[in-house]
Amino acid sequence: MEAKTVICVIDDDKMYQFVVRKTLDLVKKPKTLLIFSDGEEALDFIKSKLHSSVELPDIIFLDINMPIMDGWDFLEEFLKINGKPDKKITIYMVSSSVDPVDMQKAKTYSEVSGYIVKPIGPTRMTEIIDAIESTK
Amino acid sequence: MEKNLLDLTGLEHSNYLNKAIHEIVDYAIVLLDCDGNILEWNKGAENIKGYRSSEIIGQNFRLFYQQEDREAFKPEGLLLQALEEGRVQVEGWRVRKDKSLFWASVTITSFFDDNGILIGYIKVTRDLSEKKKAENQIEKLVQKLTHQNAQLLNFAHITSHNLRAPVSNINSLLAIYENAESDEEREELFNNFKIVASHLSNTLNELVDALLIREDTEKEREWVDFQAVYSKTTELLSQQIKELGVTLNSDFSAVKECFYPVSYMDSIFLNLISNAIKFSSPERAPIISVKTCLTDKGVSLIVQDNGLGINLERNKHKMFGLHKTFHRVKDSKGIGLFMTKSQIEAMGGSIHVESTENVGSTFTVVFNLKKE
Repeated sequence: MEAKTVICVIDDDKMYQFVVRKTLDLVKKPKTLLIFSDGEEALDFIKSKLHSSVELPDIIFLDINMPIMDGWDFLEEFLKINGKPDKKITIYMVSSSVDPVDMQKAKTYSEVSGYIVKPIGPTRMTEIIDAIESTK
Repeated sequence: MEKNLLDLTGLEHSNYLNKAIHEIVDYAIVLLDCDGNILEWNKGAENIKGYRSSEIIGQNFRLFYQQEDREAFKPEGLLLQALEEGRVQVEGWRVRKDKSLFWASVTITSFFDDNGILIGYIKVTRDLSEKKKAENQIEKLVQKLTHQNAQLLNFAHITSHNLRAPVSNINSLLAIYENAESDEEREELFNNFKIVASHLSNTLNELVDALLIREDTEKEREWVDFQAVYSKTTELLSQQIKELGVTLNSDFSAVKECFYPVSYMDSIFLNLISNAIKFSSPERAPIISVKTCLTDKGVSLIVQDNGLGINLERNKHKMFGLHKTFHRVKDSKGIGLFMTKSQIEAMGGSIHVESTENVGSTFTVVFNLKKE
């Protein structure tokens, strides 16, 4: 049986969360969807599951503009976590706007695989999942 | 009829030159002896410095320097420099007869007899006040424009992001709608369209309001009493104040009133005090103090609380942005500070915050009340 891809979306926009759910319904692949409204919640979750490889995300779609702890803050804290998580976590910075400053900043982190402009359609989503699964 | 100077002798030239120098009104041309005592004084000197020849000849040119310059022996230093280097040229403040200051461009040239012995100095002074005033104004204008430019860029950035997000959602919902398989699904989606449309509408209104504030720099001012605004505000917030057991301190003895648009002042007080209440710490009884004071920057309003505080290291650059919130508090939409800052800055003032997490925050508003 194909392993489930654990997809994590960190985004404060409730409507976008709805959109992501619906989009993933159209992606016919085994997957688990985790949604967090802010970076702090996501961070706490990851820290609690560091050695539970099955439950950790394979991919994180990280929204840049969030209140309390934005995407960059989350990234900084995530990279500081003591003890590497048991699996490779692919991170994409996500935003609804094309900000050259943010795009440049994304490039400075080797841990960030790319910068995606919302929305992510089902086709692109499928491509990303395929890419992750093939490297596992 | 004109006289041809070429027909005259050297001595007559000198005489005419001397007379001509005396008549010049735009430059103070003064002859000093070796010690800086004034021997000759032209019309320009009378004009620029305010002394008539009769009352100044024989006095020392130190008279034209400010006290701190005299105490530092600046005049003597300049003479020495002119002696050693031939001439010295400086700009600086000088004092007129009526004790007023003017910004001067001064050149002191030493001259010697045939044996190389110092005879005295010629000092030429020009009044640069007008030029300096113009320079200051230009500098102020440049600063203002730079600041406004930064604000506009920031505003453009906010607009582009805050409008794109709901639009992106609408597009996504459309795509999902087209793939919808049941009426229930379509109904659910339609409701979501309504929600996003209202997000978009609200954001647009907020941005337009902020834009209007920025443009409305001619807003009518009147004499506003701080105590009165404070009382109005605390009455509006009386329920929360009672519920949370907030202790309020106020002190407007330093500055009782100022000339400002009333509606902005109301809004500033309401926003800052309601924030202080909203972000109070559940671990201690909230204490909020509001006071005014006068500093060299102008009239300041200070609102201090002992609440949750803000992690400024992390959030400093986001402090007054639109929709930026730092605490998971209900009804924390994050537009308040954005609006308040827009209003304050539209009136030429500034706002900044100092804060320590879990200790409290202090917001300081400086009102610019000077007419430009």
